[in-house]
Amino acid sequence: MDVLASLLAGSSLGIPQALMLAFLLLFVPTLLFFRARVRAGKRPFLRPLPAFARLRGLVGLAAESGRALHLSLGTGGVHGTAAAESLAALDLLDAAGRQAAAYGARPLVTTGDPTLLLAAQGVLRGGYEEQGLPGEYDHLSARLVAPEPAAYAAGVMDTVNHTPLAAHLMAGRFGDEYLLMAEAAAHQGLEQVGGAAQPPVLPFVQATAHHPILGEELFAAGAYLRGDPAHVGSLLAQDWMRLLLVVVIVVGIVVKTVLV
Amino acid sequence: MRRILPTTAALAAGFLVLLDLFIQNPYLDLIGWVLTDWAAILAAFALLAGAYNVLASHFRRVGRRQEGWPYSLILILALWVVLVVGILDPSGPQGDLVSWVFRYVQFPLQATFFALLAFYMATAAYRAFQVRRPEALLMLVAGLVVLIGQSPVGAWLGEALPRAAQWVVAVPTTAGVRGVLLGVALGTVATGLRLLMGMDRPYAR
Repeated sequence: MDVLASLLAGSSLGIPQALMLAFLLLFVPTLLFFRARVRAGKRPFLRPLPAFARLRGLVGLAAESGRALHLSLGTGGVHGTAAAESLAALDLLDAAGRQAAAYGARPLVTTGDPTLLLAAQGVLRGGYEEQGLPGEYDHLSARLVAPEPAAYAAGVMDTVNHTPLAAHLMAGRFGDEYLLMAEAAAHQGLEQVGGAAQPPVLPFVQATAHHPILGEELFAAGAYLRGDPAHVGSLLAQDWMRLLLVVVIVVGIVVKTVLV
Repeated sequence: MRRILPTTAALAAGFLVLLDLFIQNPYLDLIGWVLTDWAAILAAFALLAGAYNVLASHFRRVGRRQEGWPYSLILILALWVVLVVGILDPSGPQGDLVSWVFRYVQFPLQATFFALLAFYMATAAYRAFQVRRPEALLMLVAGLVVLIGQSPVGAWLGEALPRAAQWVVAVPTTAGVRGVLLGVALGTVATGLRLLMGMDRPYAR
């Protein structure tokens, strides 16, 4: 580390930035390699994730019952630290929205961030346009509830309690308010798909959702639901980079133990 | 053109801000600062669209006399009152009147709401245990060990429970959380790279 520090002293890079740059320089070719492999037809086996498999059934349920399919996208936006979770939630919405447009089901999306609201409206509109039904799109099928977590939970609970719903999906950035909304849906007897990446929220997801999406599984939504080479390739790249990190951690432990 | 222009703009902005993170250069610093500032301005415009969306959806609920419509009416009135008060107050949103609304209405309501969490946790745990999933049983046992081990009753019962509670928090919980965080970090990096390389274009859907 001292050698690395002395090398970096001459440049404008700090050690954390240099490590991040090295990590990115490894990640990018790995991602490109696996995307090319998937494009060439070498698709990997993806272990079944019941939550993603159930999505089509829930859209069908909504279409048959005439009730809305509710998707709560949380309080994160498409900027800042919650962006990745919000974008992963948009992948879920993208698949649900396309299927809803195809089956004639009614989606209802609630969000706590105005930037995510605009993105969600764009995704829903895209689903209807793809089916050749732009007139069917209702701009109020995606709604901003409130940016504060407690107010957001209160608004979503009101929606769950007073709107006829077929199922309740939650994916994105959540805090403790997740449990309040999930319990409201449970009291209504709704089938729930819950997805979150923040560790403090995961016990709530596990305890309340019929089909939980835990941690990094949320980021696999695009690969499972869309299956395009970029998403599947990045999923494989993540696995290999994880393996590399595990090796680095184990080697670090061994070196530290032997040298000290 | 409808796709090329936003994609090019997004890729250029993303790369410039990323470069600014790695390279110390006054021009890149300025570009990075300006782009971040623009993002904040765009988010403010999104807030206006959001306020319109809130009003439109609640006006629709009132107009159609849907279940719970009086609450929507209260929300519309409250929104306008706070907005007008904020505009009329010379100190703006930081003024005494708006602060009063937040201090004596918003914050107590939020605190009350989150105080319900403990009861919701109990019912959720009860339901999870009813489902009889092995994970739920494991969660219940770990929860009980930590709850009793960290309370005075645990210490009164002997040394084993507090030690077990400490072990559950320090070893399996920390290991699990670190594993989850590692996976989430990798997922975040992959999402960012897909956007930066133009493989994923949520803005062009």
